[in-house]
Amino acid sequence: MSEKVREDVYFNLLPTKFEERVWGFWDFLAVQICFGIAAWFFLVGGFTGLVLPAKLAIPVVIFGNQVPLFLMSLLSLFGARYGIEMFLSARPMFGPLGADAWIIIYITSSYGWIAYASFLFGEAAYKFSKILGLPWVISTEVPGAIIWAVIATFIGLYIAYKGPTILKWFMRISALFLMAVLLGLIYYILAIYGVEKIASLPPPAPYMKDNQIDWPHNIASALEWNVGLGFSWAFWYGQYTRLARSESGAYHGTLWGWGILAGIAGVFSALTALIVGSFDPTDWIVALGTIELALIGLLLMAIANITSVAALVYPMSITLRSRLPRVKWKWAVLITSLPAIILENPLTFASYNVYLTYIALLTGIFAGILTGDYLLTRGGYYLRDIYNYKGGRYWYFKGVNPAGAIAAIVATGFYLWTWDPLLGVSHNGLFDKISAGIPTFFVAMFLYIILSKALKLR
Amino acid sequence: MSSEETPKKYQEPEISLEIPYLKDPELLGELKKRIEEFEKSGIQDRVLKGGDGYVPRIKKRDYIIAIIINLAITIYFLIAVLTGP
Repeated sequence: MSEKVREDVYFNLLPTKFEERVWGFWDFLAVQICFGIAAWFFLVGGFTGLVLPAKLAIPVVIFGNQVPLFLMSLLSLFGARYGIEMFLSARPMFGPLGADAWIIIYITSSYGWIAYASFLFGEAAYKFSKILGLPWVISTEVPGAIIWAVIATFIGLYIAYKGPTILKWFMRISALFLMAVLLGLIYYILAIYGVEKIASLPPPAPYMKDNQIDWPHNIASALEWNVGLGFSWAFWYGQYTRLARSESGAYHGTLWGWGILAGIAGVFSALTALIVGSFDPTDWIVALGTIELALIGLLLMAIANITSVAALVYPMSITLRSRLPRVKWKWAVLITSLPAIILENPLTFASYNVYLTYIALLTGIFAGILTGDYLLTRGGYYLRDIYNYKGGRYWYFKGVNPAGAIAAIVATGFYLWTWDPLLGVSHNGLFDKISAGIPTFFVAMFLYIILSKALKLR
Repeated sequence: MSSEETPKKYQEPEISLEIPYLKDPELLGELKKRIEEFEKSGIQDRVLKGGDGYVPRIKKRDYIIAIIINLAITIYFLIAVLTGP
């Protein structure tokens, strides 16, 4: 094997062999903690704290993120077992053309994640610049936060460009720092405000019905945002788990790193939202008024969000190159990151909860179908036919697996019937009772299993 | 319909590798080599029978740990929701 191909194995479509695997359990945990602790957790916690008191917000954040990860935890095994990224793993379930459609959905929807991570850093940086009395260009939300966000995007994409070894060392150090600062800040909140006071604080902006707090709707909405974030990891497993030295490491690293450990960031921001009445935790950090705390907060937001931009761009680029191998690594990194800059603005930032419900819809279906197929096959696939774009046993009907396509369409209909994110209404009235993301996961999974058996595809 | 026209899903898989978008001969050659190695070394048969792939397979105890912790989280969530704000 030439040096070029050997070096390229971390940046292209080749299956990674055992001797090329660079990440053990602790590396996985560190990477996924860094990947997890970022804007998405800070903001989902913040929105949850706006509509629920601490007694409900904390279990909703933990359950809403951890349990979807558990339900789809089998997805971590495809990449580890075969050394392939996520959307090659999806070919048996959707067919090559169906999996291509998911790649387009994955990359375009993920620009949002990059934008949220970068812009939250921008929010922190412009507020800190204001405290220091720096020029208005960088100390106002427009254009200050936008300029800082663009800088964060560029630093993140540069780290991603350097590849998994640099990413691993960067994340190992950052994960420890992030966990220490977050636990310290939670302790600080509890110490200065007191557990009893925080527990008794009412949510600042709950949904109302007939001048009363509509608790079922507040719980279901907050749960749906958190479930959206929980399921969102479905697109991100294989690009990382193809580097795992064991299936156990891949399984537990992603399950806990993206779940309960990164979820501490969500709990932190739920508490700050209750205290200051804003979904943006940087408001709380600035409200404390001391330069030292603002600096620690800024460092937290910088490391948390920039490492996460890198952790997003790397797998997106791997996926892009697995389908378009002629695209050079440098261009893959730029294509999968720069369009996000368009979304780095205050309007997109404030619409995070709507974004999450669409993500819950897309990733819940994707995860349900892949989990269903794993249960049917115990994860046994033909590697040659996964790669075979045409003519292999996963070509099915004109490149699409009818069971996967029908299950995806029906589950989409079920989700939108249960919760329409654009209109904010439940057409069947079930949303406040069952929410939408988790039931849609099961609809997709069971329908796929039934159709695969009925059509004799498995 | 003649047997040649039978839909692909009912045929035996082709031995060759057809990836129209992979033009780099070195990369394609390496990919073919790896797939053949995967098949000839017995990993392919092993994974179909529930054994190890490239790396050691997940154990039952991994699932049990995950089930217990997630069950505890679910109970915590249910108690919080059922007892209300």
